[in-house]
Amino acid sequence: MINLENLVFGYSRHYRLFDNLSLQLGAGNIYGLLGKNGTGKTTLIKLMSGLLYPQGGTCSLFGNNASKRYPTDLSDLFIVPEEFALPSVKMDEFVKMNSPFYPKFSETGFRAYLSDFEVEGNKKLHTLSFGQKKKFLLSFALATNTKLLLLDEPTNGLDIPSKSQFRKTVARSLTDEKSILISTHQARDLESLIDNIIILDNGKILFNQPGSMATQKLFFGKTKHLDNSAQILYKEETLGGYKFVMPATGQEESVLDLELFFNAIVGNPGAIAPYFNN
Amino acid sequence: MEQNNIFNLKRFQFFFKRHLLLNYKALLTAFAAISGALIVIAVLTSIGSKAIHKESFVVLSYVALFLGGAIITSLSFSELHKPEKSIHYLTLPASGFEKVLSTWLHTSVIFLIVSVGFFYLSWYLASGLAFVITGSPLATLNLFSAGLWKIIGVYFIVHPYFFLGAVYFKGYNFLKTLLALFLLAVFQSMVQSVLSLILFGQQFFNSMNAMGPSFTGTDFLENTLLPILKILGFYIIPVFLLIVSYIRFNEREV
Repeated sequence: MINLENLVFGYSRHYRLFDNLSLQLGAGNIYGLLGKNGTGKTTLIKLMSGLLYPQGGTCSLFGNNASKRYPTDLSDLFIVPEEFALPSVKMDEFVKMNSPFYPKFSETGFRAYLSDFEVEGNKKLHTLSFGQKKKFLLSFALATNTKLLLLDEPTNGLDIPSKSQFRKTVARSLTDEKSILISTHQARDLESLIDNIIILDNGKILFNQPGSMATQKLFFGKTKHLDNSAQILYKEETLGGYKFVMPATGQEESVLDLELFFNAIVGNPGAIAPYFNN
Repeated sequence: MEQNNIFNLKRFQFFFKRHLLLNYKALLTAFAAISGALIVIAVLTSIGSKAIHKESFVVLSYVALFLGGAIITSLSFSELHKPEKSIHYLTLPASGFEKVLSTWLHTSVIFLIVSVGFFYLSWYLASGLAFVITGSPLATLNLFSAGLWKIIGVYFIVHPYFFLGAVYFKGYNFLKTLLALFLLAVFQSMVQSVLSLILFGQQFFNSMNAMGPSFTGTDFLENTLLPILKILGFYIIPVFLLIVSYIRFNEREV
């Protein structure tokens, strides 16, 4: 679906945000794009969708140069940006004017997603709260049934029940032909949803593998006291103890703590990376 | 069947309809405001003379046409320039050509048709009101005999400048286009003066002084230079500006 090869991009001549970055996204996955603020998650999404042009390397979307913004490719791509403005029209009018561009749009699906998110009626879009607008746009995005869905910080602005509903709804919408990329800096919101983790830091992909690989190679634990003889790769002090990452022994598989894993990789990449280098 | 990525009639219709649905309320409000102003002015000026002034109504209508057209055209790519709207706008599955063509049609052909309709409506409403209020005789209006075709022609020449300004500038498009046109006019007059000096020497400048010797390059001006400038200004530059607008649109990043 997406193929970035040796991508070079920077907003100024003196500083390159990405230098020879390569990344492939295939079908049937939910990718979590994790990174600190300012690491280029949104920029990467814009490059993938042809909204920014690479200064070097290639970026292809469904086999074509993404910068060309071919309508045939765009009809299989939908982006939910972090910040957006909806026009001053009613919900049904928005659907009427935008859905014809997406051949696989499902009106039934749209109504079901809206119902899941508890957005009712046919209100004017500008009268909705930010959270409701986001739920409306997410419902529309999922109903387009595009092959690729790019969601930039989708849980920002959602209340706690809506975040949970978001995870359920997105998981339900996935098929073998579709892929969803979720960019977030709130790892905890989405750890049960994403199956492939991409960690971006300093313009480089530090990790790009299924989440299951992390628990195969590493053990995520909690303890009151740290055993100094244990091979701790990363630790964090928490209320009443420590959270830690250590090499998996193979005897017991732990549950992935995505936030801890992210902090470990970004905080101590030299110690974690060798476990994932084939 | 593989869809064409440059132009597809069905896709164009979707975009055209979307453009219309998004903008018609604002446009109708603007037209209603302009019509209201025209009616009030026409009725007020008829009070003293007991007759509605057709000429001043026509002149005011044409001023409104150009000013309204320039402002509406300058605002026509607002979705492209607002960061919170541009992502959806640029990734909407329609080609750059379809988006530019639809916007051009709305701000030129559609705008002109609706404007003329509103001018006629305003005239007959003003005429009726003047008849009731001041007893002015009911009068008919024929804009086509009042130089409308010429005005439309000039509109199509001026429109591409504001169209390019709408694509090129990211904010204050109307004012920035006006400033750019002013600077362009200054630059053009400077180039023109230098060229005239090179081609005709001091004789050309002397001819500007009524006391000086008469300029003898008139034949060259009228028979050669003027027709070239006319073709350039009426056809080549407007088309060139539209092509530049299209290229600029496709180069737009967010």
